Order: sequence, then structure tokens, then C-alpha cells
Amino acid sequence: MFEEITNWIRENAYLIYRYLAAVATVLVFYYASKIASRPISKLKVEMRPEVVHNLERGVRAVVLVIGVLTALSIVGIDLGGFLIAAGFTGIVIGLAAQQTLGNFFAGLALLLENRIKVGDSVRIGNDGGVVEYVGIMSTRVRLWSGEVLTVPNSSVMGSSVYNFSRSIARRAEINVGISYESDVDKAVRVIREVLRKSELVLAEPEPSVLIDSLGDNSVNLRVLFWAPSQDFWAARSFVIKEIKKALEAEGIEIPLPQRVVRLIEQARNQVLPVETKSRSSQDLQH
Amino acid sequence: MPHPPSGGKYGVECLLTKFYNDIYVLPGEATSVYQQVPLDIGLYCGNTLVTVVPIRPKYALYGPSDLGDLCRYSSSDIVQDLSPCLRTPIKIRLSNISKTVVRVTKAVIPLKGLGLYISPERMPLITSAKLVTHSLSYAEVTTELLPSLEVEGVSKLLVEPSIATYIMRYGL
Repeated sequence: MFEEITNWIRENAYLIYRYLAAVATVLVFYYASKIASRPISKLKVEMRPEVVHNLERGVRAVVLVIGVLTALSIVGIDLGGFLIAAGFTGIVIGLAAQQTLGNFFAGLALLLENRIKVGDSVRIGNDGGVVEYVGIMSTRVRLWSGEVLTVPNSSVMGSSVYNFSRSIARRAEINVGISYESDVDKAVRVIREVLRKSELVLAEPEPSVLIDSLGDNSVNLRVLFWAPSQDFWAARSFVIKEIKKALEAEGIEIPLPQRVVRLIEQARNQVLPVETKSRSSQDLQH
Repeated sequence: MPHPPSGGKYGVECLLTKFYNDIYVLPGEATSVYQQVPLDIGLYCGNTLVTVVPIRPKYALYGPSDLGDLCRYSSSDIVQDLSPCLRTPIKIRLSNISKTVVRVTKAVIPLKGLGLYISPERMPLITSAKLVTHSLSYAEVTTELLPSLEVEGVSKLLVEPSIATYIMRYGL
């Protein structure tokens, strides 16, 4: 048995040598790809993290493919024929892997278009969060609630993406209802004063306080103001609180939903129909 | 010690001062306006400025929300109740080199160029700025090295001014 193995090795020494050389070539190119991709992250050029990451992966992939092709030529495989076969295989794979390729090209488009980048606060469809990673196939978003959402890039490209980080300031809209007995002009003055005093409310664009509608339960005011994006929610919450306090201090009522019941008397011994005017309930909007 | 307006909590780089009245400048003409601006308080340790505390900070957006600049805001409403040692007039020299009449409603001044002098009467004197309009919606604002008001006696330099420029490209 041992003699048979030894004889086989002697007869195929050259072939074994070529296969070992091919494996060694692949290993060398594998480590070379890692060394070749390292300087990219150290380049003194300003690049987004997702571009750096995907460029590193691209360089590693290219070097590795060269290594594999070199190894195949060492083994003795005809690269011309191999490439022709690969071309046909590519067509088949392209048809079979449309979705994967779609994600791949969508990823390239995302990186080039700079629609979103790592650190942006976004809303994709109904999901909102912070972008953690933009890959060549998918994008990872950490939702406000803490979960991680991975979205295929083709979905990102096909969806409306709200990017809250691209704006320096955002406009907030608050609805305030005051009772019909209240002085509307005074309420508007009070709210304007709250907006004027608040550091978080931008002086320009100038805030607006509009009388929006005469609702079922209240006179509805619409308050519009701009706040820096980084403090948008804090500004909105603060303004709502201050408006409520200021209106209460001035004796202006923010009413609860109301009903008016009117009793109609027809004849003495007849059952009195009770006509109830029930206004459609309208929730107090803040 | 008083200090020129600073960037505040957002680290803004400009001061947007809204004129009380709109100023119309004829082509080729120049004029000067004086606007009251609020001063902040600089905290020093010896001669080293440690931090600046903003007084009555208010901010404004100049330009569109994605391309514009967040600025410190100043108008007559902001400064009307301030103590005289916490506000000072700034001289803005308006110059129109375009061929049309230009209406100027505000000036955006780079904060890093503003300096502060203290007059012999211990009044703060901020350095002036120059606004040159090139068209109806484009102007260059440059800070200058001299105080906005000329006073008798020698004024002491508290905060060194420098020449800095801001391009107002989103309207006047």
C-alpha cells in the first residue's frame, strides 16, 4: 500500500507540484488583498465611512480574483475557455439572481448618489432610525426603539427616504384649541410672546400663529415655527408646555370636547322627545 | 468682561442683524447704519479667556434649511431691555456697486472678525463691518479693525478684531 502511494506520487509529482503552487498562490493573494486594502482607510482624503469600507472590500475582491485566475493558469486551465464559460454562466446567474444583482447595483447607486450616509437620522417607509451601515447589498438602520433593521438596497432606492439630518432647521407645527369664550387676539399675543422668548425657536424664518378653523369644541390655532434640527423635539415639547402654562396664566381656557343637549317641550301629557345635538367628537389636538 | 457675540450652544459662526427699517441704497452710492447688538460675557482667568456666556441668545436661519447657515440673531427686540454695558452699536457701512437700487433688510456678519474696545468712559465699542452689494440678492460682508464709534481718548483693546468675510447669497 505504501509502495503504491509512493509510486503514485512519483508519477504525478509535477501535477501535485502545480496544485500546491496554485493553493500557495491563492493564499499569497489572499494575504496580499488584506495588505493592499489597508492603506485605503489611512488615506488623507475625506471619505465617508461606508465608501471607505466598500472600497476596501472591492480592492480585496479584485486582488483575490486575480489570485484565483493566476492559480487556475498555474494548474493549466485554459483561461480563454474559462472566461467564455464564465460569460455564459454570468448570463444564467444574472437571470437567476436578479434580486441580488438589483441590490448590488442599488448599493452602488446609493454610495454614488450620497442619498444617505452613516449617522443620518432617516425614515424609510414607516421605519425611522439612525443609519449604522451602508453596504453594497443592504443598509442597516438602528430604529429609535433600539432594534436593528436591515433593508435591502433595492428597497431603499425604491422608497421615499426622509433624511432629517440634511436640514439645519426644521419646521414644527402645533395645533392649539381655545374656548369660544376666550379672547382670540390675546391668545395669539400670548403664544407669540412664548415663541419670542424661547431660545430654541428661530427668529427667522419668523414664527406664525394662525387661526386655523372654528371647530366643534374650540377655536383652533395653528402655531408654526422653525427650530434647529438637533433640538427639534426638545423645542417642540418645550413650546407646547410653555404655551399651555402661558394660556392658563392669562385665563385662556383650552376646552375639553363638549355636548349641547336641548330639551323640546311639545304637549303636557306627551312623552318629551329629547333632541341631543351631539357634535362629532374632535380630540383636543396638541 | 463684555465680549462680542459668540456662537452660543450651536457654535454658529455668524451674526444676523435685522435692520429696524429697510435701507435703500442707490447704485454707486454708500451709506452707514448703526445697529444695536447684544454683547456676551467673557470669563477670564488672568488674561486667558476661559469661556463666553451668551446673553439673550436667539438664533435665526439664513438661507434654505439644507444649505443655509444658522446664525446668532440680533434685532431691536432683543436688545431693548439690555443694560448699556451689555449692548453696543455696530456701524455697518453699506455700499452698492450694482446697477440697480438695492433694498437691504439685514446683514450677516462673521463673528470671528468682531473685536471689542473699551472707551475711556468704560463703554464697550465693537468693531465695524462693511457690506458691499453686488446685486439684489448677493453681498459681501467684511469685518473691519476700527471701532464703530469714534470717542475722545484712547480706547483699550479687549478682544482683538480680524478681517473676516461672509458671502450673503440668499438675499438681502
